[in-house]
Amino acid sequence: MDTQYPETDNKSAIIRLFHVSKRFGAQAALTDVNLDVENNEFLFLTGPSGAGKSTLLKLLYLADTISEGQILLKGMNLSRLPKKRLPFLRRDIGVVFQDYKLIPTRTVYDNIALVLEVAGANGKFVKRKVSHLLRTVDMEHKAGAYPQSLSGGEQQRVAVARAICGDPDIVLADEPTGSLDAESAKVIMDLLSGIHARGATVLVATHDEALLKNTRRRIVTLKQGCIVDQGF
Amino acid sequence: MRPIFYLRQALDDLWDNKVLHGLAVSTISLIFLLAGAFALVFLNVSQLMTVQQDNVRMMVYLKGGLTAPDFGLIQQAIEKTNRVRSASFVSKAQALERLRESMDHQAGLLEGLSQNPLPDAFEVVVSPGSGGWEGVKMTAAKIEGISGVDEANYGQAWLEKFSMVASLARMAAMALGSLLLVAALSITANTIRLVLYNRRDEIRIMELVGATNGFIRASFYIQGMIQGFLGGIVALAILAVVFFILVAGLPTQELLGRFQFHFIPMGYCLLGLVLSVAVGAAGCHLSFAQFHKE
Ligand SMILES: Nc1ncnc2c1ncn2[C@@H]1O[C@H](COP(=O)(O)OP(=O)(O)O)[C@@H](O)[C@H]1O
Ligand SMILES: [Mg+2]
Repeated sequence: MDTQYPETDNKSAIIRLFHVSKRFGAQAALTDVNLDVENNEFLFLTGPSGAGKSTLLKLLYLADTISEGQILLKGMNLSRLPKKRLPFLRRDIGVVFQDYKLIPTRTVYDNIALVLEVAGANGKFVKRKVSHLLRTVDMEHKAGAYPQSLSGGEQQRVAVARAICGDPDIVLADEPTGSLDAESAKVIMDLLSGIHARGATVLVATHDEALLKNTRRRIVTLKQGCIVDQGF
Repeated sequence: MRPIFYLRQALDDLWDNKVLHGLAVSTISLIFLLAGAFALVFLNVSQLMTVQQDNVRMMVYLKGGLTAPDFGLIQQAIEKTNRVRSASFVSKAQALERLRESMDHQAGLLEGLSQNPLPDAFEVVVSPGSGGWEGVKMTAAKIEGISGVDEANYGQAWLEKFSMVASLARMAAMALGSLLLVAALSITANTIRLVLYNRRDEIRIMELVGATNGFIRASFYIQGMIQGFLGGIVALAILAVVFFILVAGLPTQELLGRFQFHFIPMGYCLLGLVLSVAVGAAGCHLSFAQFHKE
C-alpha cells in the first residue's frame, strides 16, 4: 500500500485516483481527478463526448500512462508497477472496448478462449468455461463464426463474454450500449449486472441517458476532464 | 498445452503468410547452399592434399663428378633418413632414356646433344605418416644436407602456392560466411517483421487481455526457427543430390586414383542445421527489438 498519497484511509476502495491528470500534448484530457471506487461497486461514468471518460478507463487498464497524480488499483500504484507485472494485473481487469477489439482472424470461440489461454489455463477448463459463457451471452450457435459476420449487438455480447471469462475483479466497459438498440442494450446491461452480482467491481462509461434514468447506482459526471458531479 | 498452442499459432502464421515465408525460405536456402557448396569444395580439395601423402615421390638430384662408391654412400644415407621408405638410383643415362621415350616423335631433338645434360638422381618414396607436408619438408631438408646431393624436389613450389591459396580461400570463406550469415539474419528479421506488422492489432489486443511478452513471442520464434530449419534442410538436400549426381558421373578412378570425393561430414551438416535454426531465432529477436521501438 502506498502511504504517501492517500488522503483518506479508505480500505474498502479497490480503485483510487489522486489528482490524476492526463494530457495529450497541450490538450488536457483529464484534470486533477480524485475518485474512489468501492469494492464491488457498480459505477457509471458519464459526460458529453470528449469529457475524458475513455481516457480515464484507459489509464485504469494500463493502455496509457498518467501525466500527473497517482492511481492505486487493488493497492498497487500503477506508476510504479514493474513492467513484468503488467500482464498479470491486466488479467484481473476485464475490458469491454468501445470498438469491441475482437480479433478478425479468430472465431468467436477463439476470441473468448484467448483470454484463458493467455493465462495458461488447461484445455478442458477452457472448453468448459467458454461453452458456458457462450450460453450465457446466447451466442453458442455462433461459436465458429468470425466477428465480421456478426451484428453490432452480437459482437458486443462476445466482447462482454471475453471481458468476464477470466473472472476478473474489475470490469471496465466503454460505451457498451453505444450503438445498440434498446433490447440489445438491456441484454448487455443484464450481463454486467450479473458479473457485479458475483462480486466484481464494474465501471461503465456511457453518455446513454436511458441507462442512467431510474438507476440506484452512483453516477460520476465528467466535463472537459474534470469531475463536476457525483451522486446517486 | 502451451507448446501445442504456440506451434499451432506458428503453423497458422506460416500458412497465412506462405508466399512471404516461401520466399524467405528460398533465399535462406540459397544462402546456405552457397556456403555449403563452398565448404564442400574446400573440404574435398584439402582432403585431396592429405590423402595422397602416405606416398610422396621425391626426386633427389645429385651434384656432378661423383663416382659409383659415392652413389652407394648417398643411397645409404638417404635410406637412413627419417620417413624414407625406399630410394632407387636413376643414372643420368637412364634419365635421358626415359626422356627420350616420353618425347616420342620429338626424340630427334635429343640426337644433337653431344653430352648428357641431366644429373644423376635418386627416386625416393617418402611416407610422411602423421607428419603431413611438414614432415616431407623436413625429410627433404635432411636429404639436401647429405654431401653430394644437389637438391630434393617434391613439387614444393607448387605446394607452397597451393597452401597460400588455401589459406587465402579460408579467409575469404570466413568473410563470405559472415556476410551470408548477416544476409540470412536480415531476411528472417524482415520476414518476421512483416508478419508482426500484419498482426499488430491482434498483438495489441493480446497484450490488453494480459498476454506476457513470452506468450506473444513464442509463436514468432517458432516461426523463425522453422523458417531457418527449412532453409537449412532444403540447402542440404539440394547440395546432397547435386553432389551425388556429379560424383557418380565423374571418372574419379582415372583422374585421382584412390581418392574419393566426400560429402560434408554428418557433424558439420548438423552444425549447419543448428546454425540455420539459430539464425531464425536471432532474426526473430531482432525484429522484436525493432517492433518494440516503434
Ligand atoms: N490518443 C489521443 N491523442 C490526442 N488526444 C486524445 C487522445 N485520446 C483522447 N484525446 C482527447 O482527450 C479528450 C478526451 O477524450 P475521451 O477520453 O475519448 O473522451 P470521451 O470518451 O469522454 O468521449 C478529447 O478532447 C480527445 O480529443
Ligand atoms: Mg469515449
